[in-house]
Amino acid sequence: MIKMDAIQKTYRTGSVDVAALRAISVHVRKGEFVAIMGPSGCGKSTLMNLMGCLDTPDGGSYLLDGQEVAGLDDDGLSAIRNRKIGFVFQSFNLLPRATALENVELPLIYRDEGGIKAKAAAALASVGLADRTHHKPTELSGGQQQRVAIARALVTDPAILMADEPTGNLDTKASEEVMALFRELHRQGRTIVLVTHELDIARNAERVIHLKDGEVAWESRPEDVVAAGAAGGRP
Amino acid sequence: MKIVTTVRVSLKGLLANKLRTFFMMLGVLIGIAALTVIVSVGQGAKQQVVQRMEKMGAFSAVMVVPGGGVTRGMGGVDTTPPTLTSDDAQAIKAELPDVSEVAMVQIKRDVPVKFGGQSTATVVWGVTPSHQKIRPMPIARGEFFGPEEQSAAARVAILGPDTATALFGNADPLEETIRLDNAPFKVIGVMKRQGASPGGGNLDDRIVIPQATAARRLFNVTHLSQLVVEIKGRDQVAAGAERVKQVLRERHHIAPGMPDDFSIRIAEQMLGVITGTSQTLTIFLGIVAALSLLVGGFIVMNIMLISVSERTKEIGLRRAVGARRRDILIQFVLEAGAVTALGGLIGVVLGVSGALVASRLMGWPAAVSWPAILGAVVFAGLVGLVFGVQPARKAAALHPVQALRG
Repeated sequence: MIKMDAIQKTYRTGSVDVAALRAISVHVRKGEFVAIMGPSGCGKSTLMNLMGCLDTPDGGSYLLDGQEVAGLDDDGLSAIRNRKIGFVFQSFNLLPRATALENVELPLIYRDEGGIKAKAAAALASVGLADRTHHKPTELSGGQQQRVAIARALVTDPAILMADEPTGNLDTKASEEVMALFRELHRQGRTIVLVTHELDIARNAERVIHLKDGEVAWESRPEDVVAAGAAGGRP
Repeated sequence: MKIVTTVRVSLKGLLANKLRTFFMMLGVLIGIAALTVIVSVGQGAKQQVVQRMEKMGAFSAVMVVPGGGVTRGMGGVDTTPPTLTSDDAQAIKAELPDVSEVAMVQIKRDVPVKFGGQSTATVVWGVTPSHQKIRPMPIARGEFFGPEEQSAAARVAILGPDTATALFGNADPLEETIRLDNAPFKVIGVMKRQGASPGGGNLDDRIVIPQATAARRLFNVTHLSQLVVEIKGRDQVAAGAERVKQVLRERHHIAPGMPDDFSIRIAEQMLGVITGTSQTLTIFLGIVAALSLLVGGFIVMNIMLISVSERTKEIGLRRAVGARRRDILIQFVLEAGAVTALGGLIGVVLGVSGALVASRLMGWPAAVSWPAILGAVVFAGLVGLVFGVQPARKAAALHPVQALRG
């Protein structure tokens, strides 16, 4: 599903070039649930932005669902984001004055299709919020807001679901609910990429990619990570 | 993205912050309201003048006054050159087949008039009965004189309503005998109130008598103050005026290249003079209104810029879920256009109501011109579109990653 090879990204701060990603290669299979971990500044946000087609790499190849997207222009990337990617953000990013339903409709208004309302309502129902369609975000709990955001990510039936610290703003109980939803989506066959710095959250994934200084440091199964975390070092 | 959806997204953006939207439309609203009042009142004034002149039959008539060069209004027989005569009038009627009527007018100001113990001084018009066919003076009571009174030089008089009041108070003037310059005249009619003439004079304070009576028994002159010539066909008036001019030049033996010793006025010219003044005013006020629209546009631009920087995260989110730069651009341009068009619409409503209230309270005529109003709303919308472009471009240029960070 995702084949990133020798992807490079360099940021220029002042006169100094900072390599955020140094020829990194990441592959994600269809239906896989992958977590990306690493300390801050390791390049995981940059990797997420590139995977999500929010940004373009300086070098390398990125095959998404069989399509080369590394060289696409802005309109092309917008179309890919609309069709193939569903984003879930740490701070939910819901439009505060729109209802849950209107928030979920948002990606659909950028394509020329009918049946927007029905699709959005179905997506809300699939995250268990069928009875909250006309609530504003402020009338919903944090966990519910994040579930609205997940419905918004799913409404376009994307190839990949990308979640950037989806539980970062949630309490333990809401976090567990949201992660249970991600596990369920994975069970249904969704491809999920999750960025987190929490071991407990990463444990939900099948595979964990550890980044350090813009490179893949190592990969592991979640059980190993937990063991390593407990042992205080790398296996 | 469908255009309907785009418009809906823009309107939602506006409804989300009503106070800000209100301030955005305020400048445009005031500009358009002012413009609407100006246009309505200006249009109304023009219509009123045209109506009044039409009622007087002015559009099919050519007026000839003695003396060349700059015309000096309606001169009395004692102040104008004696170049215009009844022979001129007969010649015009006889020689020009497209002339249907010719009326002779002699005017004298400050003629003493007495009834019983009351005395005053007013302007006396001696007119031929044909004048009543060309420029009818509305009669309230009694009747106008006819050809018999003219040929007999009868001592009969029609009073303006103000003159009647000055002499008779509330009593009935009909059949009474007044003294004009000590000569007795029988009152046979009283005119209806007409108000000011298009030129501004009081048409209600005067006495009208047969022209022959005026010439032989009162003024003792044969030359005329005016000739009023009615041309057949209203669109032929300008050509008819030219032919009248040729007849008079020939009769007055004016060599080619020499100036006329008379002046010809047609209604269109007078209308031009009257509306010309109001046009200057309209243009001036129009510039003021345009400036306020310009200021309104800048207000819209600045508030939109603030709005864009406050809604950076929203823009980032929209980009993340697939909005293209163009979608963002259109959304914000339409927001600006919609807010000013709405402001324009409210401005028109306020302006029209204002004009109607003003016309009711102050007696100004007001005419609502729908094409002008439609134009105003469209123009207001355009102001928003134009001034919305820069903020919208700024919004569209945001990089999705940076925008999402807020």
